[in-house]
Amino acid sequence: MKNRVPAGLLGMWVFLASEVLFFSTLILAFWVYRHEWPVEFSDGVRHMDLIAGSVNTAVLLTSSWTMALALASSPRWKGRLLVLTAFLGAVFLVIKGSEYFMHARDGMLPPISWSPPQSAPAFKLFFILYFLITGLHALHLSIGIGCVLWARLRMALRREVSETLLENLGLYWHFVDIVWIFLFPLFYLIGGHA
Amino acid sequence: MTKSYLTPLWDWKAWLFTTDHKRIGILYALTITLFFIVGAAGAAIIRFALLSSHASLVSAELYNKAFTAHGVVMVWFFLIPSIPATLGNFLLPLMIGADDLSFPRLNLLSWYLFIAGALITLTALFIGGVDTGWTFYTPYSTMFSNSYVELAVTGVIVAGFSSILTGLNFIVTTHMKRAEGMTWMKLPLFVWSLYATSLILVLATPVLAITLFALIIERAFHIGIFDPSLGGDPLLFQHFFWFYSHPAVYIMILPGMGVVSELIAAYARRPVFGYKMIAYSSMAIGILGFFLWGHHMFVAGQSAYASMAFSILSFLIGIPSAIKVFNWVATLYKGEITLDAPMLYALGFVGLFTVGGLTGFFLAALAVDVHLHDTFFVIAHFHFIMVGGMLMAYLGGLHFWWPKITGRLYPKRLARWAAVILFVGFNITFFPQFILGYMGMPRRYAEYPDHLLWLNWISSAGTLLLALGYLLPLVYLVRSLKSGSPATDNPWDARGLEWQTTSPPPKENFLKPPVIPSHPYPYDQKAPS
Repeated sequence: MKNRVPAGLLGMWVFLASEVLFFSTLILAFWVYRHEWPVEFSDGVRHMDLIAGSVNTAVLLTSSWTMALALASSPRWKGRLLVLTAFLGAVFLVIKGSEYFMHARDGMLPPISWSPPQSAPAFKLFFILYFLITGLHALHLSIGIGCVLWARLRMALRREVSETLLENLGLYWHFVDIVWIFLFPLFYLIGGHA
Repeated sequence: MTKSYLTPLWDWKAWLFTTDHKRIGILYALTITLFFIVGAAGAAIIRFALLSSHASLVSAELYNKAFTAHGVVMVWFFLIPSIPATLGNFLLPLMIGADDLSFPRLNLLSWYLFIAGALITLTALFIGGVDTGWTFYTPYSTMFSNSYVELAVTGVIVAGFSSILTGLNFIVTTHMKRAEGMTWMKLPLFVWSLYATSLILVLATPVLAITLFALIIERAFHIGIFDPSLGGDPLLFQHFFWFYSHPAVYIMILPGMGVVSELIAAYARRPVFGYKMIAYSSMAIGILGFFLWGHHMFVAGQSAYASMAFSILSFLIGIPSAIKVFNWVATLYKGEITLDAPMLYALGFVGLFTVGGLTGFFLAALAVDVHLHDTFFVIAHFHFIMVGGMLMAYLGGLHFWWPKITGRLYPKRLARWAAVILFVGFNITFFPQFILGYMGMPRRYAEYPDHLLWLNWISSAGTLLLALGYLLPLVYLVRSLKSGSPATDNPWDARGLEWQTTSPPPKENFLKPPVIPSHPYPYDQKAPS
């Protein structure tokens, strides 16, 4: 059969379909509990750092832009843009990490440090889901950064980096970005008004 | 003489580092046979325990651990990989005229993940066991059970990634590796069923993985994700669990349906009647199967309206299932039927699957389910599908493709007897369980009222015959490897592409491109020489 799409690319799409179900399970769990405990979950949202979250959203969206540029650009710029993409990903992780640090300092990192301003179980549940879901997202992003740098290294060593591989890197990167676009309103915006 | 994929045969490195789909299929077959024996040991303890109505032979605790071990091992380490990972792995590239799957190394990784998962779970079962039942329902599993839940569940998660990768590989292979001229409407129905199965593997398994991961976190840190006393919702766990585990039922039966379509065409010597309808019904089952999970929760406290929707949807799945059964029967009509072992298994499948499927309607009906829920009726129902269906199909397929896989023939007469013994033993074991369940015998209880003793004895006695039905093929198939007469390339005069190559095939599958027929199952034409 003549195939217009390389097998690797279709493989990545199927993998991402699987990933969608992976994240949507947790997002659905969050929605269900938000519905069951609207007061406590709104309170949770108000304990998020909206500035940090917004900056991070901008950083990650920009990284998707540089990733898209990298795929379309000449070999000379490809490498630089890939490094920039990975760098922006790392900036996201640093900001996210400092948020985690703040939460830990304020006693809102269950189960390690838990002395919260309010003791409702559902408030704790909010934070459990927050760390579980954003943690999983950060893990995905870390893998993405690793892969982008690995591709960049191969280019530097003049080893073959196929079009399909770069395309797949891009797909994965955008997927991780899109997941964040769902997470940001869930944890930082909805129910956060006074 | 061309070199077969089996040379060199005794080089263990050539096996452990192989990327040949045929060898990986055999690795799977060997390992799942081992796990089947472990799972069967669990079943043996259950049936032995139930010889007594008041748990005098086996302690209630061991009984709980035995049915959990039986369920966990049989579901995740035998049934899920059974046909797809063994026969599917071996046959998919051959049937579409390809040299291998799209991602051979990923295929090997799948097997290693599967082995790793199995070892982790088996460790949990052997160092002390798990007493939650295979469903791991919260909050019992997270807050109360004093057994190795985390470890067992970790193994299931790891094996889940193996499932996802296998599904991904099959989907891409079916799209990308078909030989020139092998269009979708010429694909063997086994390939269609594998494709539908793969969709479920890819889309349902991640839900289970993340749910079980949440379960581990809840248990390890005593935080409430599903525990109602901590703000969680145990029903949510059940929703997520069955969102995977109901479609998983179709992972466990669809490939069997595919195998049976192949067998019936070959042994009735007719093109499959209603080919397109069977192909589409596989897809329909695969897709519709995602929307019925709530019928496991009719008495769990979900909303009555949700239950009504799930009930109706569960009835609907009967349509594609019935389409298959009617088309198989129509294929038999005016066929030249040979009752060889594979055909006996296939016909056994059709009968037992029909009983299993129709009793499913009892359970899909809201009011009837209240009476039958969590009784032995349910046990009998799904064993008719899983054992009477999938296991019969697996053995039938194994007998059908054995000459292709190994290059050897087995004793045909003995094989026919084994198939009949299995069928009879199965019915003696499981049919009484319908009556037991109807009379109110609950599942997962070590004790039961005395008046149910006789039926339990019949059921336990049947397992002896059933065990003989499993042992016989194990013995004569293994013996045939050494003493069986060599098989020709196409001993059954079958029409699939896999029969156009040598038995066993060379490493690259086809030395010259296979002839693609003008329509699927051309049993009305001569085989291309």
